[in-house]
Amino acid sequence: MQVFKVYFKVLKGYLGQWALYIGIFSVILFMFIVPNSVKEQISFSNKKCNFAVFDYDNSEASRDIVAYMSKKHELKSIENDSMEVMQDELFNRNVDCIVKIKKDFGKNFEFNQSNLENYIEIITIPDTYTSQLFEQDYNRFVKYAKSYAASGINVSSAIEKAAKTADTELSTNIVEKENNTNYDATYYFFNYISWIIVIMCIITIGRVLVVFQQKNLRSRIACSAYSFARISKELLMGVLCSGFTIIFIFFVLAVIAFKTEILSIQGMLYMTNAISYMFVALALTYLVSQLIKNDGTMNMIGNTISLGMSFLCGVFVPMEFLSDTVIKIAHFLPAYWYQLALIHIQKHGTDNISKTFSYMGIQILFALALVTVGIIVSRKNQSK
Amino acid sequence: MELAVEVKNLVKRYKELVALDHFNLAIKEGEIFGLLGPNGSGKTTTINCILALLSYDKGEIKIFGKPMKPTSYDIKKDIGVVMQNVAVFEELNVFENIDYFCGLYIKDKNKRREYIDEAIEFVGLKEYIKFKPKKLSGGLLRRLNIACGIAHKPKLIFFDEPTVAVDPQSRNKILEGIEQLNRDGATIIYTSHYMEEVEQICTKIAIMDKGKNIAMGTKEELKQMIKNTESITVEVLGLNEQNLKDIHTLPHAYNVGYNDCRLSVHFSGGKHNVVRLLDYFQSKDISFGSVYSQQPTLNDVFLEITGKELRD
Amino acid sequence: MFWHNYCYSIKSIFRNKSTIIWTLIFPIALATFMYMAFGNLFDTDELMTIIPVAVVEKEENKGLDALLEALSEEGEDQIFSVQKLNEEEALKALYNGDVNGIIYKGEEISLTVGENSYMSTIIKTIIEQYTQSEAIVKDIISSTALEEEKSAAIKALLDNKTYFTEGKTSNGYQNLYYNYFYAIFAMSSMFASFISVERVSKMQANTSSLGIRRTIIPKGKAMMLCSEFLAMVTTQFAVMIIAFIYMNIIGIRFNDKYLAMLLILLLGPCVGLAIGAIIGSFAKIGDGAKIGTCVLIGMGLSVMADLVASGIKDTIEHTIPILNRLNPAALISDAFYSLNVYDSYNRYFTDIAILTVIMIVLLTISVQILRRNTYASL
Repeated sequence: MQVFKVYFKVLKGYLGQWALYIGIFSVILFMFIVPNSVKEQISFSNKKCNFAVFDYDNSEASRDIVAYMSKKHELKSIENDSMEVMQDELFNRNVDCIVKIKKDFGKNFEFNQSNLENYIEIITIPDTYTSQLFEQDYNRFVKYAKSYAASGINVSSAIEKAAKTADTELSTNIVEKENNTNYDATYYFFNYISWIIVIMCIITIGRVLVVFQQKNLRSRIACSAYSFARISKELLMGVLCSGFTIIFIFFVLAVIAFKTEILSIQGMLYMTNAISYMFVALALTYLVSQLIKNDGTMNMIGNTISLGMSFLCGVFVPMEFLSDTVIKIAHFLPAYWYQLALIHIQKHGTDNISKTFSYMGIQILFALALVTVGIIVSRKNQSK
Repeated sequence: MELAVEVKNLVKRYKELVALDHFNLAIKEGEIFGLLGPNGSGKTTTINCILALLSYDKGEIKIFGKPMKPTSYDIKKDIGVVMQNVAVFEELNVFENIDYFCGLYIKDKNKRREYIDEAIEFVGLKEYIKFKPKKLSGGLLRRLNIACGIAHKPKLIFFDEPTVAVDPQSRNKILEGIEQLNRDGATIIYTSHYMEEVEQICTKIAIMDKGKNIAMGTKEELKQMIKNTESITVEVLGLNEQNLKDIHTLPHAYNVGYNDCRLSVHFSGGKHNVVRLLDYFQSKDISFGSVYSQQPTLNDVFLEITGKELRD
Repeated sequence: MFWHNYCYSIKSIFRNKSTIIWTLIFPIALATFMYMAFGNLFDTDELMTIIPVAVVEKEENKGLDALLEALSEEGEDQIFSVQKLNEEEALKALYNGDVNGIIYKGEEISLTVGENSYMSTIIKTIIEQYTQSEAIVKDIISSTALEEEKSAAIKALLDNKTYFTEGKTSNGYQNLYYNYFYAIFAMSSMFASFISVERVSKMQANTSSLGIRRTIIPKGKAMMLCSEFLAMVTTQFAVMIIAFIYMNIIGIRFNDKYLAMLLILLLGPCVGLAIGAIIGSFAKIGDGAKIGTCVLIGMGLSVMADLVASGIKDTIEHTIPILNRLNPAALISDAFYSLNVYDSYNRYFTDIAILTVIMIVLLTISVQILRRNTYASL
C-alpha cells in the first residue's frame, strides 16, 4: 500500500486549502444561511420598500404622512440629501426611495392648493417595482386624504380617515407556483457545497495527482515491482477516500447546523445527491490533472470551472432568473443536474423519488464520461 | 604586461563569518587564471566582489589598472561572465537569448549580428538556434550560457564552475573553447573545485581556503612548493616490518604506507625512484604486480598546505 | 539599448503563458459567466414590465371591468395584460408562471398570487385602490357633508393626479450588478502583480543569475528598470483593453466616456505592477510564496471591492470609509461607477488622483529597492 500511503502524505501538504475553504463556507453557513433560514409563510404579506425622509417642513401634515408611510414601509436614515450620497444609497439598494418634503408642504396641503407636487419630491431609480410600489402607496394615501378633506373634514381627521381606509386589505391568497424560490437553509447549504467541493478537489487532490504524474517520478515507480494496475488502484483508493472525507466533513457541518433534520430521509437524499456530485468532482479532478501540469494554472482552472458551473447552473443566481440560452448550455454541465435534484428534493421531498434518482444517475454518467476522457488523455500523455 | 585584475587586501564579512580574509590577487593580461578551492572557500564571493556586485569591507580592486566600482561602465563593457547557474530566458530561443545579451553591449546591429553568428558557431549550437532552453540537454544549455556571456567579445571573462553536471563531451568542448578564447586575446578567470580542469588549461593558479590566498603560481611552481615530487604505488604481497623500514631508507623516500597489499611510497625528489624500488624487491626476491608512478597533483599541494582534501 | 530591452521584455512576457492566463483569460471567463448569470437581472427582475394577470368571473362587476380595461390599454401607461379564464385554467396559468395573479371578480373581489413579491404587492395595491375608493365614495355619500363638498370630494378621488415630483439622481445605468464587472477590472489590475513579481526576480542580482547577468552590463540600472516597467505596462494595458472590448461585445453597457475609462485601465495595472515589483524584490522568499502573496493581496483587495458579493464595498463605506479611499481596487471600481452614474467628473478625478498618488508612492519605493546593483550578500 505504498502508493496509497504516499498519496496521503503528499495530500497532507495541501490540507491547509481544505481548512481555508471549509472555514469560508462555515462563516457563510453560520452567519448568513442559518440565521436567515425562515422558510416563507404560505400566507401573503405586503412587500416593504426601504426609504429615507428629509422633512424640511415639519408640519403636522408632513409628519402624519411620514408616519403612515413608515407603517407601510421601512424608514431608514442616510447621511444627508446631497446628490452623491443619495445616488450611492440608491445604487447600493440601501434605500429604494428618498422623500424630500419642502417647506410649506403642510400649508399647501391644508389649503388644498393645486400644486402639492411641487412641495414633495420622491427620488428613486425610476421604473422599478419598488419605486412604483412606494409611489403608488403615497399617492393613493394623499388622494384619499385630499378627498376626505374636500368633503369638509379638517386636515388631521382627513389624514386619519385616509390611513384607516388605506389599511383595509384586499383578501389575498398565495398558491405556491412551480417556480417560486422559497427555499430553506438546508437547500442553500447543499446549494453552495456544489461550488466548494469542486474547487477543493481540484486544487488539492488534483495537485497530488499531478505530483504522481511527474515524468521522473513515474519512471522511477515504473521501474519498481509495482504494476501499473496496482499503482492506479491505490491512487484511485486514495482519491476516493479523500472525496469521502470531504463529504464526511460537510456531513458533520450539516449535523451541527441542522441537527437531526439531516438524518431524516429527505436529509439522506440530500447527502446522496452530494455524494453523486462528489464523484463528478473527482472525475473532473482526474481529467484536469491529466491536462494541466502547472501549479498556478491548476489553481486558476479550478476556480474557473467551479465558479463557471456555479454561475451557469443556478448556484449563485436561482435558475428561474437565468435566460433560456444559459439553461440550454447548463444541460451539458453536471452541476445543473445536481441542482435539479436538489430543487426536486426541496420541493417534493420523497415524492416522485425516481426522478431524484434519475438526476443522480445522470451525474454518475457525467462522472464516467469525464473519467473516460481523462484515461484517453492519460494514454496520449504516456505515449509521448 | 599590464595587470588585468588586481585585488589587494580584500576583506568581506558576513556578520561574524569572514568570507574573504585579506585576499590578494594579481592576474596578468592574457592569462588563463585558475581559482581553485573547496566549496565554501570564497571563490564565488571573490568573483562577485571583483564584479562590484557585492559590497566589501576593506580592500582595493582594480581592473585594467582602473578602480572597479558599480558605475565603472567603461570597464564593464569589456567584461563577460559565465555563472554556475544557467542564466537565460526560458521564453526566448537560443538565437534570441544571445541576441538579447549581446545587444546590451553592442549597439550596432550589423556588428551584433556578426558577433552572434560567431558565438553560435563557437559553441556549436547552429542546429539549435530556434530551440527554447527547455528543449536543450544539460550540456547544450551550458553552451548557450557561455555564448550569452561571451558573444560581445569581452577582454576579461569570468567562468564560475562552468562544467558542473556536464557530460564529458561537452566538458571537453567547453575547455577547448576557453583556450580558444584565450588565444583570441581574452584574459580568463576560471574558478572550479575540479583540479583536473584547472591543471589542464590554466596558466596560473591560485589556491584558496577559508577566504585566504594560500598559494599562487604556475602548476610547476605550486608543485615545487611541496615536498612530494613523486608517489609510487605497487601491488605487492607479504611485506613485513623490516621491508617497510628498508624502503624508508631509500633516497628521498619519506612516506611509506602499506595497506591491503598496496604499498605507497612518497618521494621528495630524485630521479629513477621506481628503478631503485623495484631493484630492492628483486634483491629480496619479492614478487610484485602493477606499478604506478604519479606526479603530485594540486590536491596534494592543497593537502599538504591545509591538511584537507580539495574535494571534501 | 532601451528599446532593445523593451522589445525583448514584451516578447518574453507574452510568451509566458501562465501570467497571461491569470491576467487575461481568468477575468474574461469570470465576466462571461457573471454576465450570463445575472447580466440582465436588473432589467428582468427590477425594472417594471407589463404584468400578466388572469380574471376569473364569479359575478359581474362593471366598475372593475372598466378599471382593468383602462389599465390594460396599450400605450405608455399600460400596467396589466388581462386574460379572462375559468378558475382551473387560471390556477394552472399561475402555477406555470404564465400569469402573476388571479383576480376573482365579483361583489367581493379577491386576489390569488404565486409568491410574496413586489409584483404581487403592486397587483394587490392597484386592485385595493379600486375597492378602497368605492368604500370612500360610499362613506362620503352617506356623510353629513354639503352637496358641493361631496362632489368635490368624489372629484378629488377620481382625479388621476400625481401628488409628487419624481426625481432621479443619475442618468446612468443603475444596475447594481455592474459592481461585479467593475471589480473584475480591479482584479485584473491587481493581478498584474504576477507579471512584475516574475520579471523583477529576473532583474535582481540577489534573486537570480539572470539578474546578475543583467546587473553587470555597462549601463545604469535605471534604464533597464524604465524599459522593463514600460514593457510590463504596455502588455498589461493591452490585456485590459482586450478585456474591456470583450465585455462590450458580450453586452455589458459602458457609456461613451472612453478616454476616461482608458485612463483607469492604464493606471490600475501600474499600481498592480508596482505592488508586484515590491514583493518580487525580496530575495529571501521563494517564488511560490511570492505568487501566493500576490494572489492574497489581489483577491483580498478585489473582494473588498465587491468581486464576489455585492455590498461589501458599501458596508466598508459606512463603517471604515478610509479603507475604500486607500484600496486601489475600490478606487478603480468607484471610478468606473462614477463615470456611469454621474455627469460631473469630480468624483472620478478624485479617484484617479488618489490612484495616481498610490502609484507614484509604490513605484518610488520599488525603484529605490531595485536600483541597487551592489548587495551586502547574494
